Amino acid sequence: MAKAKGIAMKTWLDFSTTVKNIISLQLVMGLSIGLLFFIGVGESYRVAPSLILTNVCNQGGLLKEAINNSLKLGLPIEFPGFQTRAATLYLQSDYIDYAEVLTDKNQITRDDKSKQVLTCNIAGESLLEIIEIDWLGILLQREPKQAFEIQLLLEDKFGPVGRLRIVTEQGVFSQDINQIFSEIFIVSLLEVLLVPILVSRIQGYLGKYQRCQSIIQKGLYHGAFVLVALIIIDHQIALYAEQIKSQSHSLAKNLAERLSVSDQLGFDLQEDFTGLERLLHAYRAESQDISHVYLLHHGKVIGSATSSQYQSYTTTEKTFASPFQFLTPEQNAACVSFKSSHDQGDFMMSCLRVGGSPYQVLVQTPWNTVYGKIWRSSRNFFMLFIASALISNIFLNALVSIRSRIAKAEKCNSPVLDCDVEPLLAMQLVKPILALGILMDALNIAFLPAYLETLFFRSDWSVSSVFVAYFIGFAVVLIPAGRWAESNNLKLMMWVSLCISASSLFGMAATQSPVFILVLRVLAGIGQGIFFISMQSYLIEIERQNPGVSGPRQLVIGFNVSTVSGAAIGALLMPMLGEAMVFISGGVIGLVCVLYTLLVIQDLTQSWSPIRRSPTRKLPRIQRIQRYLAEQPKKLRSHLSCLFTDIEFSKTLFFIGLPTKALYTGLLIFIMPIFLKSLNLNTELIGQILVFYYFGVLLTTSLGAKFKQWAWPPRILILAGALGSGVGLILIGVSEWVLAYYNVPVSQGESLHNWRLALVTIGILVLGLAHGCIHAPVVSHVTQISLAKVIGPATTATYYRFFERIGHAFGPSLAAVLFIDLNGKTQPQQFLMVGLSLMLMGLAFMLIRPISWSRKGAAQGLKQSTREKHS
Amino acid sequence: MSRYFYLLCLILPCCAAANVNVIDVTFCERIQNALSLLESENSVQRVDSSYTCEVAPRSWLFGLRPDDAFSMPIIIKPKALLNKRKASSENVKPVLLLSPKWSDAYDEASATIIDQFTNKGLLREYILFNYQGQESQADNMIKQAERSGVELIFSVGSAVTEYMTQTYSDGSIPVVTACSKDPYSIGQVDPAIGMSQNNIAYTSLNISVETQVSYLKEQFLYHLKKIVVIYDQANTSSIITQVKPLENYLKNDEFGIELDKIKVDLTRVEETLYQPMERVVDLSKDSGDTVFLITGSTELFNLIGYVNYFAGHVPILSVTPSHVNEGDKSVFVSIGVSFRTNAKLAADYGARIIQGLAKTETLPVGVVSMPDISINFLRKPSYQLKVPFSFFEDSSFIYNYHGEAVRRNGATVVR
Repeated sequence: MAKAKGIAMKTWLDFSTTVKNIISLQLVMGLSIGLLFFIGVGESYRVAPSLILTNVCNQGGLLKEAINNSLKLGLPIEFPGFQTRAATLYLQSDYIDYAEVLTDKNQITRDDKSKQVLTCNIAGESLLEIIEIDWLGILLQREPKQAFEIQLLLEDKFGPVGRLRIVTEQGVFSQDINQIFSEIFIVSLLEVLLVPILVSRIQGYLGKYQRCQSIIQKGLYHGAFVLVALIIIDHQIALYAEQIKSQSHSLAKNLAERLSVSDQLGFDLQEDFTGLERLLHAYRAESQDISHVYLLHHGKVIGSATSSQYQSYTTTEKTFASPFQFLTPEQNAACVSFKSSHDQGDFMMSCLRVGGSPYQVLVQTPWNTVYGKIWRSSRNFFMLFIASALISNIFLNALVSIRSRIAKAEKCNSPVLDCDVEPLLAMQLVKPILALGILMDALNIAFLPAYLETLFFRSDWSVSSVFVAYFIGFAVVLIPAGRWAESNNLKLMMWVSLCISASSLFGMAATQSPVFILVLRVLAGIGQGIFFISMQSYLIEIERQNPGVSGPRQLVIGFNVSTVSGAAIGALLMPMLGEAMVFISGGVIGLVCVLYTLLVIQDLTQSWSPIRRSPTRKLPRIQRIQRYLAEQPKKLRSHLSCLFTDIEFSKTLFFIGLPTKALYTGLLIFIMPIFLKSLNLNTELIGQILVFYYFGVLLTTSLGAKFKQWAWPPRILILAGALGSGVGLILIGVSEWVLAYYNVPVSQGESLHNWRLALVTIGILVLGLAHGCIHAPVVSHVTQISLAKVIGPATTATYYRFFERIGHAFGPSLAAVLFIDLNGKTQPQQFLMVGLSLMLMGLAFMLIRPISWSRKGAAQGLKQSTREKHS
Repeated sequence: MSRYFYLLCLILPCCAAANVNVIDVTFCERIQNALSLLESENSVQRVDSSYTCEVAPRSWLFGLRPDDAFSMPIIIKPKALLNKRKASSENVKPVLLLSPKWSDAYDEASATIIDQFTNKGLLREYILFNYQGQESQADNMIKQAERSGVELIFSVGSAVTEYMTQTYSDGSIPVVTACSKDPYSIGQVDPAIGMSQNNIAYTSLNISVETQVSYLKEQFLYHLKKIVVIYDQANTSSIITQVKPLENYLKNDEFGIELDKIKVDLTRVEETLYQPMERVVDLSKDSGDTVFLITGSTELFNLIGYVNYFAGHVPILSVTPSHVNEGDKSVFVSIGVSFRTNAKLAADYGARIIQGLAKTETLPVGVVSMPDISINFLRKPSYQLKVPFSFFEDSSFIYNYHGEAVRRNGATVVR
């Protein structure tokens, strides 16, 4: 009986554990796929509506052009034929509900109170601020309600005489997106519900094989994630391609309509008119995408216009022999098509009959161009996908770690926080805090400068002062925080810093006063500074306890992952939610981290800490604090004298640390956007190119962490980093130098431009890869120098971090002097010089060795320091 | 008997209005016909566009003989203005349209100005007066206009514009010219300044020579070598405004086009027109290397049938849109400014002055930059000669190979 009860109890316990595991994995999967789904919807709303708007505007614009032509010929604005043409427009268009021609006097015939007015030149992100994302519509497939109105000015020979008013269909921007994402939602929901059950079942079969279980769980989790991403990408490509196709079709239709007038009036295009090629050229030039425009007569080419880059593709046969397979029978009947010497599959074709005549218009758009456009539209989603994948990975690792933590607690049979954890597990547990703690502040990177510019428009404070305030807050707190890290528990530091950061973000959401914002940014800098030091100390301690784990490397990875993800997601969120809500979201993430820290994180024992072993621990608390505070200035002086007499520390700082940080803020953050802007790139593309730097850093750092056993000593890695930085800069500068030397203008040729852009991108990637070799190893290096054994590795690292920050501060000013000439233009040739200088500094770092007097100085400092500790 | 009745009516204003259509039916009818034509050609029915027409009040008649129906000034009022007055007591100043002689072109221009004002929501009373070459009457009218607080004067026609330039260029009422020849060519405005700097804002019935030649050479006849201009030696204004500017321009022009002139003595057309034309045709190798350009002279245009005959394969062009007509009494293509377009420009200038958006002193001479094109395919001289598609699209009037209108005033003619 008792045995049976025991078995039942065990079964029940197993069952409840399985259910808990399933639910927890469902929650994490829900969170990850939800994030991806959210990003997919947001990105679709960012891109598709502007394509639809362009389409509507193209259609409206072509009608406007036709009416303007008639007005210039002398027809009055009241001509009833214009209303008929407007009616034709809305009857033929899927997106337009109603269109009418208005004079200055007549009234709008339909109620327009609920319509929002749009202009055709509105940018994608501004449009997203106007559109309401219909979340419920995605889930419930309800009828969308939001409609828009566009008014185009009509002019005769002497000026404006009226307007063409276009009212879109209700839900014009959301209908297609909602339909697509409601399908994806069902797939995602099924995955979230079923994959954890599947994982649980498989794990049940593989009870003994822990490693297999983990691989299968991760594989299925990531597989499900990638599957949803692929479905989203596929649907997005279809959605975007449809819009792009529709744009070229509109042009073909307009050309056919224009040409059909001759037939209507009883004339023959070929017999009566010249200048048709000029018209075809004008149409081809109107859209950069179109490569060929043909005018056919019974299948024979009688006129063509080809873009210069596709001259070789122009048909030489002059006769279109076989019908296009992809045209409808009606179109096929109208357009006798050709089988030319080149593959017709290379082009997307719109073929339309010119009225009732034997003429046809054939417009070709290279698929390459279509794919290029789709790629440009989807590129952002890929970035966001990577960002969400990185974050999802953190979620999964956190789940796995928490499970291990609970399992550990069950084993040691005590409350979770009272049970010691291994360093590796501690690392896994702290990773989400590291990632989210930086991400909460990185969410506003993308829009903060522009947002502050609007708020500080009439203020006495400049926008740059806000950033200076942040960095001052950050730098000022570094050394005190470093000292605090030695004397108190790091967990406290973590949640206090997170609370400070979160409160500063909530404050940013609540105020628009420049002075308050300055104070809040100082606070944010302090919060992030303390957070950074607490994390660094925590990870260094983990590395100390388990030399197989590289703490600084994890810090670099965490910083870059969070910065890239935060900036990308923040840029997407801002138009959807507004600035205040993004700040609040950051604050909420901070509070979640605080809760997580309190519940999950455990302090590590800092066995080397001089304070913990100090005899003063026996004194009352207040006396201890007084004595501690009294000791600090003395300690600081002593530490500084030790640091700057240590050749190893000094050369690392001056040849590696300062230039690397100055290069980051001065070149990457300040000069590179200006330089890329001078190459006529848009802001979005500039951001995407700069992301390669972070990918480079992540790649080398992750590889370093993964294959630690094969890694070279930090000194070699640092040398490689310095040389790589030089190579990166030379790659960026060499093309510019050659072009400047031979005086080739920026606008010279697309291929040249692409080649140069590729070189710049590779240069930035190499720079990132090189910095990845420096960021983490340099901290490991300074914590391994002899001095670190005296004043403690965390303190040495903190001092190093602090002085390194001077490079951050001086970077922009130094870059301005080096790279900007008196006319305010960038001098890319200087990249070569700076690149070579960096390589020389790397070599100097490698070759200069501590000499006897410095060793002596260091030894003296060491002795003095030891005496102080004992006293 | 009737003459006394009219006189009585003028003395008793209360009955004058009632009988206005009987007294001055001709002038009113002309203008109302022109207004109706505008509406019908454009297929537009404006709710507020109906007008009343009556003889002007007595104060405007100063010594005119009431039995001379043609010489009576008339007053045209939009009905919408009458309704508006009922609603409010707002006092609207009248606008004077002064013309020198009877002309369908002037009627069309006057009607267009009135129509454009109404279309722009500027409801005004219009006093129209044709002084029939009697400048003293014009002078009286202007003085009365000053007394009555007239807001704006339109001088419709070259003669009245010349008169206003000589006598009223320092006047108190702003003047806008319409249907008048190029003020630069006839010395009314200094081309170097480009504006009158007085109370008269000028518009030009001619397009600039640069535009003319560029339309011909750059868009139409790419191999053009010679322009042969045909003009009436007695028509001084056409020589000043059309022949001389073209001659001066082609002297320094970069296109390498030769100018040949056929000076026509209408009493000896055989020797001065037909024979020179035959010589030109003989020298022309293809249909696009030479063109005849006929100037705007009514007497000369009356010979268009013969001119077409002797032109052979050489196309005949004009800068006067009215030279392209239905049937075969037409030139092939005209590139110029129609009376209606010019009147629209004048109305636009007038509206801007009334609204306080512009001043006559600083308004540049109004030249239509996009000319009106008319084509008669029946007069296409040879099969090889083709029309630029852009001309076809920009043509206000198109006549097909049978000489029938297929587009009129920009609208397709439905058959």
